Amino acid sequence: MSGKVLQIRNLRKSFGKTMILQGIDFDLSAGEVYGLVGQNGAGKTTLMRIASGLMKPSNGIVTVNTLKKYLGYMPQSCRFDDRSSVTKTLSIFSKLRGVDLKASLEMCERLELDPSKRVKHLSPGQQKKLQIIIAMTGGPDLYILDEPTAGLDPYATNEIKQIILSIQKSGKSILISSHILADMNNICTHIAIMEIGRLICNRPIKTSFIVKTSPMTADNLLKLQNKYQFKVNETATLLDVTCEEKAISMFIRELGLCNIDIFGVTASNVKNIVGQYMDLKGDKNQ
Amino acid sequence: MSNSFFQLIQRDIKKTLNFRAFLIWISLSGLCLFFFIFSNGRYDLVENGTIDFMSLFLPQIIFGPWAILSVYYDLISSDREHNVLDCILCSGIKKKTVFLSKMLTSLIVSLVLSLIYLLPITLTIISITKEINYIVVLIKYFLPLWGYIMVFSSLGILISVIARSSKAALIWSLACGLILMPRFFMLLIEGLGTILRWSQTTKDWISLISPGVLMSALSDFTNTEIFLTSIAGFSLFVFLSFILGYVIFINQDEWNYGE
Repeated sequence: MSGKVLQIRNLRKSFGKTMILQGIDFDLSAGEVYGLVGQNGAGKTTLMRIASGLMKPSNGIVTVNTLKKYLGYMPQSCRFDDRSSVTKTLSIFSKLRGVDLKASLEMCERLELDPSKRVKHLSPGQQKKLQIIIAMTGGPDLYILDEPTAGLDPYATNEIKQIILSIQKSGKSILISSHILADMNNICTHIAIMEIGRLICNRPIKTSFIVKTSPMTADNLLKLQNKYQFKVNETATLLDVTCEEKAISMFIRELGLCNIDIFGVTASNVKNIVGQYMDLKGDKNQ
Repeated sequence: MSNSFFQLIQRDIKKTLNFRAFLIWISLSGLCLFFFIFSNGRYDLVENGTIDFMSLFLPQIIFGPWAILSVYYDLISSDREHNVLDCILCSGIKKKTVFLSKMLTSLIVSLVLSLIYLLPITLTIISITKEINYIVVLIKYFLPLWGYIMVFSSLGILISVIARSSKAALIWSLACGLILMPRFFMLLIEGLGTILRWSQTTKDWISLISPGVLMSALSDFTNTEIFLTSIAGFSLFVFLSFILGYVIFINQDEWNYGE
C-alpha cells in the first residue's frame, strides 16, 4: 500500500444537541503511526469508531483506501466466548476474513500464547494478545487500536508495544489512542492531540539528536542552519538537532557532503512525546 | 458473503444450543412426560384414544416463554456488550448480514427445540398405545409449537437488540415471559376489560396476543377462522419483532449512545 490510507475531512459528529467531534481533518499514510492522545471524553473513541466504519459521521468525509475489505480494529476492551479455546476463536475470525488459520497460530507461537487454552483462562495480557492477533488476521493495511495497553502491567505493556512496532515495520498504517503518553513513546511517528472534539495538534514527532563532528566552518554552519534547526557548542563540534527520525539521515548525508567527519550520533530522550505534549499544552494555555 | 454468513450461523447455533439450553429443554420435555403420565393425559389416551392439548403443553404454557427467551436473550447483547460485534463488523461483515444470520439461527434452533420437546412425548404415546399411527401427534403439534417458539425467539432477539447489556436483557426477558404467560395475560385482559367495559368477544380477540393462546388455537384444525387468525397472528408477531429488531440494530449506534 502507498499513499493515503485514511483521509478524514471536516468530520463532525453529534448526538442530539451534544457535539462530540467538531471538524476533524487528518490523513494517515502508509507506514505512519498516529498517536491519538487526549483526556477522557475528548472524542478519541468516537473518532476511531467512525474511522473504522462502526459509526456514521453527522457530517464530513471519511475515506479508507485499502486493498482489503477488513481492518485491524482493537476495541478498548473485548471478551470473546469464555468457553471457546484460542484456536476456535481465531478460526472464526480467519474464516470470516477468508484467510488461513495457520498465520494466526504462528503468531500465537511467536507471542507465546497457548492456542489450546480456553479464553476464560487467559490473563488480561494474554486476552490483549488474542485481540491483537485477531486484529492482525489476514494482515490488514490499516489498524485502529483503541487504548491497546490499558489496564496492563508493565511487562505486558512492553510486549504489546513490541507487537505494534512489528506491525509498523511491515509498512502498515496505525491509528492508536491512549491517554498514557509514555506508552506511545517509540511507537508513533505522528502525534495528534484531541481536546473537546477538536484536533488541537497534528504533527510528526520530533526527536533530539546529539551529533559529534569535526569542527565546522562558519560557511557550513550557515548553509546547514538554513535547512535544519540545531544548536551548536562553542567549538562547533557538538550539534543538538531536533527533527523527525526520518530527517536525521538526510542531515547526516549533508554533513558528509560538506566534508565534515561524524564521530557519533546519539538520540536524546529529552524531547519525547510527553515533552511535546506538555509543550503544546503550555503553548495553548499562554 | 456466503461463507462468512454460514460461519456466523454456525457460531450462533453453537452459542444458543449450549449445555444450558439442552438442560433446560430436556427438563421441560421431562416435565411434559411427567404431567402426561400422571394426569388425565394418559387416562384419556388409554380409555378414549384422545390426546388432550393441555396435558401435552402445560409445562410449555407455564415455563415455555422463559425457556425460549433463555436461549436467545443474549444472542446480540453479549456480543455488543463485550465488543465482539465490533470485531466482527471490522472483519468486513455488514450489519445486515449479522442480523440475517441471527434470524436464520432462530429459525433453525426453534425447529430443534420443537423436536426436543415433542419427540420424547410422541415416543411415549407410541409405546403406550403400541400404535405407530400416533406419529401424527408429532406432525399435528409440530407447526403450532414451532410457531409458538418462533414468536418468543423473535421477541428474544428484539430484547437482545434493545438491551444494552446481557443483564438488562435477562430482566426484560423475565418480565416479558411473565406478562405473556396465558393465565397471567388473560387475567390482565379480564381486569382491563372490566375497567374499560370490553365485550367478551373483544377480550377473546385481545387474548390472542398471548402466544400460548395462539398455539392452542393453531392446534384446532376444525375451526378454520380461528386457525387462520392464529397463523396470521403468529406471522405478524414474528414479522414485526424482526423488522423492529432490524431497524433498531442498524441504527442503534446513532440512537442510544451514552445510555
